[in-house]
Amino acid sequence: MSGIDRQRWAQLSPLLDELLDLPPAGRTARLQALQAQDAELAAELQALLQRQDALDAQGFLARTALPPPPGLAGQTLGAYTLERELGRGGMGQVWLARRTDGRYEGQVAIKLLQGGLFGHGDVARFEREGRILARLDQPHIARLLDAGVADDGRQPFLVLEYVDGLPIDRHVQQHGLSVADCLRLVIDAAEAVAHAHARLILHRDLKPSNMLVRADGQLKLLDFGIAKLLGDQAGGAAADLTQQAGALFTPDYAAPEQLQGEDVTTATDVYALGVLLYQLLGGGHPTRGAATTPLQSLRAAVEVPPPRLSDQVLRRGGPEAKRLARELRGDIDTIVAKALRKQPTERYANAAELAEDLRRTLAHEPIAARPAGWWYLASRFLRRHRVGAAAVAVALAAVMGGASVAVLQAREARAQREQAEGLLEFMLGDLRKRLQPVGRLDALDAVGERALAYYAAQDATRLDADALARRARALHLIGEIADRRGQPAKARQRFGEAARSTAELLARAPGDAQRLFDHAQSEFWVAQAEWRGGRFDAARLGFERYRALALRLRQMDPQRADWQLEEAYAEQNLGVLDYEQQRPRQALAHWLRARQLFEPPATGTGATAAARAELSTNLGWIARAQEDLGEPALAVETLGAKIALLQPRAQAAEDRPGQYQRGLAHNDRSRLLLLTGQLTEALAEADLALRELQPLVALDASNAEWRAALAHAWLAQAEAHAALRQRDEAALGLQAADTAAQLSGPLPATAGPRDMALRARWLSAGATVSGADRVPLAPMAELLDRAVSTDPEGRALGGTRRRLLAHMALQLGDAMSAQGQPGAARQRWQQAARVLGQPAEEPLTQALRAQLLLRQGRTQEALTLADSLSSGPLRHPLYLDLLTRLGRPLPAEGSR
Amino acid sequence: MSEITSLLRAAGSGDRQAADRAYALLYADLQRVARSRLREEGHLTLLDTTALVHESYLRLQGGAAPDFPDRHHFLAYAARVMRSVIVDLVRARKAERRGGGALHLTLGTTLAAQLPAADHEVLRVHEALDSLAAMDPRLAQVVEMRYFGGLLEAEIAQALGVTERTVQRDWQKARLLLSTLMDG
Repeated sequence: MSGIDRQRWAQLSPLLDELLDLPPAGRTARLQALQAQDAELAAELQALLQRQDALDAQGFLARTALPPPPGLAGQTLGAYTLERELGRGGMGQVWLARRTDGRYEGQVAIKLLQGGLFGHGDVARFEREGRILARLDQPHIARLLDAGVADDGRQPFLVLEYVDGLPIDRHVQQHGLSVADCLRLVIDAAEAVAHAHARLILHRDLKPSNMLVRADGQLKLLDFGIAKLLGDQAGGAAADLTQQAGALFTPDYAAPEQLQGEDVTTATDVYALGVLLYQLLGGGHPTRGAATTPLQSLRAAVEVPPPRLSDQVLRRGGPEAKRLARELRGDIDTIVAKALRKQPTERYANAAELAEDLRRTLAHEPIAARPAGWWYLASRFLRRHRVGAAAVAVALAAVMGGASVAVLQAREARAQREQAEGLLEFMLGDLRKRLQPVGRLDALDAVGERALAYYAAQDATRLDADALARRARALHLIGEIADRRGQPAKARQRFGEAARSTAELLARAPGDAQRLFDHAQSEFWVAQAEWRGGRFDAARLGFERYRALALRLRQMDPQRADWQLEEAYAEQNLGVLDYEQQRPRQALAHWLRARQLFEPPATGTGATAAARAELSTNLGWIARAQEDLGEPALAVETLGAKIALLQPRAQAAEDRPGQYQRGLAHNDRSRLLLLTGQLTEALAEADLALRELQPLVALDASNAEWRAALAHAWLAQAEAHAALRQRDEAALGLQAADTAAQLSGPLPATAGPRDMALRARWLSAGATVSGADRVPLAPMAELLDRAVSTDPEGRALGGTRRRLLAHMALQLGDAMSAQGQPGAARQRWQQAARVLGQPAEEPLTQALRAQLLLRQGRTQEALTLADSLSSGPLRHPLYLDLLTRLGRPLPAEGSR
Repeated sequence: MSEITSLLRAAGSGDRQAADRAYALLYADLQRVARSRLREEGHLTLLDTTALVHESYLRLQGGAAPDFPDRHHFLAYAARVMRSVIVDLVRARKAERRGGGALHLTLGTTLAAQLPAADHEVLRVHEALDSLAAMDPRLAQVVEMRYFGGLLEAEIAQALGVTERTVQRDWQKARLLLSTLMDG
């Protein structure tokens, strides 16, 4: 065998080509024929073919020289364990896997995207796209269950529903499916694609190997993995993945525009479905014809119009060709031809239209793909109404009377409307929810403008109620986007227009609950936009209108929980508006009403997590108002209710936001208990806060909010220890707070009010522990200067933070005074008074003010103020210090 | 146009220096990537030769959108470079194993079963490939692209301007010839 030389090979090679292309039986026949001519040559060929089988059996060169690392099976990827490789292709490998944590029973397919294709892709972007695709939920689409990146950010993977089935072409072949059955399968496929199209997602790589039919006959579409969001032609982030994967479409199913690198639209997927139809129905490939090289077949796909399907079936021959051709002639020929037009605009605009025509064919109804001559419509109606002669007569009469034109126009208008509707529905629903959190608002904006343009082109006076409502929703959405993009003027304008539309709708039908609801939403957003723009009076009026509408809504059906919530939202917002304008009493009244409304849906039977979250927020606000109004005990109680509400539900998975919120509430309780002098309780509460927050920070040390909360918990503990005169423990707490939030380093340039307040609290507690004569002045002075230079009146601080900063300023002054700088000390005390701001009812503020009066030598005023506090709940160390300085007796231990 | 693209163009029109420069550029890059992959064996590393070549291409392109004719040119070329990278790595590994200390011997019980055989095959294919090229250059190129470059049949077909079916037949024939050459 080793004796093959170049000359001999030149003889063998073409014969081998020929033999390799033959089925086994054909090979034997051909070899026999060759043997008659050249026995030696035939024997050599036979030996080579046998060797071929042996090589296959031993897997000769079956793996590449540098094989993928062994042992992927059994590896875990996120929550999944890989079981076996299902296949590999241009996009990467596909593995069968199982969920390890038992949350999703059954098998999944995991697609490991090749890192190389992704070399420059942004991993976060990929995950985002995965989440968008996960919204595809249709029985004929293999669901994308999850997407992630493993292996230190280098291995992107998609987790898909596992489909055990045959490619559609092999399924059709194996079961010898009838034309009607084929059409049904393609209708399923087209509807699945239409579902994606309605969500602005293209498939871009439809081909038989992506369309599996299970043993039970269910079709499943795979691989929306290289889909691309429409409306993103700018080549924005979402398109990157697909652009890099651009070479991976399958040329056999690629539309001309895809091959030419032009814009890809929903009609591109229609083309691929057309090729599929053509092949399934026995026509072979529609354009390849005599092409033998890839270049020729690409050119044919772009230039050669496909022969009529039925003609092609006849030409290819076969036992059933004539009968089949008869069946295909007419509608199916027409539909397939329309799907395969070179110009995308001449095809069906999207998969839904194709599905509709295929369905009509099956039902013997007229299809849209053909110009409707009256004779055509009549012939279709005749077939459909084979039995009912009267119906035929009516149909004929209608057609003769010119109704056919009207029918078509109506259909066209409806199709256009439905397209816009689909677009809007998607925008207002899934897309917004998905894109907003990831900041892809530019894409949304573009889509929104497009939808608006559609409405603008229509005559507004002739808009029916539905269209008006959709218009309002579009305006509303665009307003929301503008609001989030920091374009308040545009947002106000859009919300205003939306509200006029919804008001008009409501005026047309005042008893319509949905319209009432819609208008209420509009008013909410109008108010919200005014608020953001700092126009508080206008905002209040807007929220009051919203509340009035919500009230009407609730009266319409008191049982509906979501309507009840609307009124609660109105109260909640009115409360925050009052609170921000320093009216805690009015704010509290609004919030208490909101609490009443939030409680049933949050705590009753059928309570929802969303309602619980709202109530939890509400309780937080109430506690703040109660604190500001000098009711710390009530605030502690309210926060207790909040913590109880936030307790993890039995079956709930880990709820990190909830845990964080509980930590914050314990922090606040600890601070309030210190205020009322319940020191051991304050200590216990700080421990509870630590128990919630420490694991969180251990989990993700990069979360600055969590770290800050943890630092506050340590400080709460340190303050309680200090008040109990446990200096060493207090010092340890201060150190732990520093570790948690890096408080001893220089103040970052980006530090905001929240960071400054935390640091002020830490410095303040440090000063308390070390004593005024020994405390370093520079860090406190630096912090105060920074805070005052950015915000002299302490406006951005809010009550609690304001007090923290003022307290520190007081201590800074004391320390300066103790260290022989009386002039500088006076200046700091004045700053403290400014930071503290307007007289407020909150007792700690009053105590601070009294302390500052004392420093200014206004002892009498300080005394009056201190005495006014004696009947109140305040037992904070600062107040006790005040009493000591004023020579007043301390309250009895028992009442502390 | 990135450096590698212009070098490949120049090399394509017969510029010997450009070809050497392109080779050096690719070799360094592919070797670096291949080494890092080998180092990470045992971790979850999913890149195989195909990915190495694609990754190298993307990086050398500097992230520009792939320019397809050049890409095909590149893939064929990269497969050849990849062959050298792999053969050099395998030779280095063999040398290391010969000179290696006791540690390698103890580890050898599990590794010896797979690695030497695979390494052996790589070197023998590499040596036989030159004889194959003398008999039928396209077959040798298909082996280079598929076995060393890890490219898919569709990619090879596009790069060589033939149909996938032709690539499949070529691969079958190439295996036959190689196996006879390696027997001899």
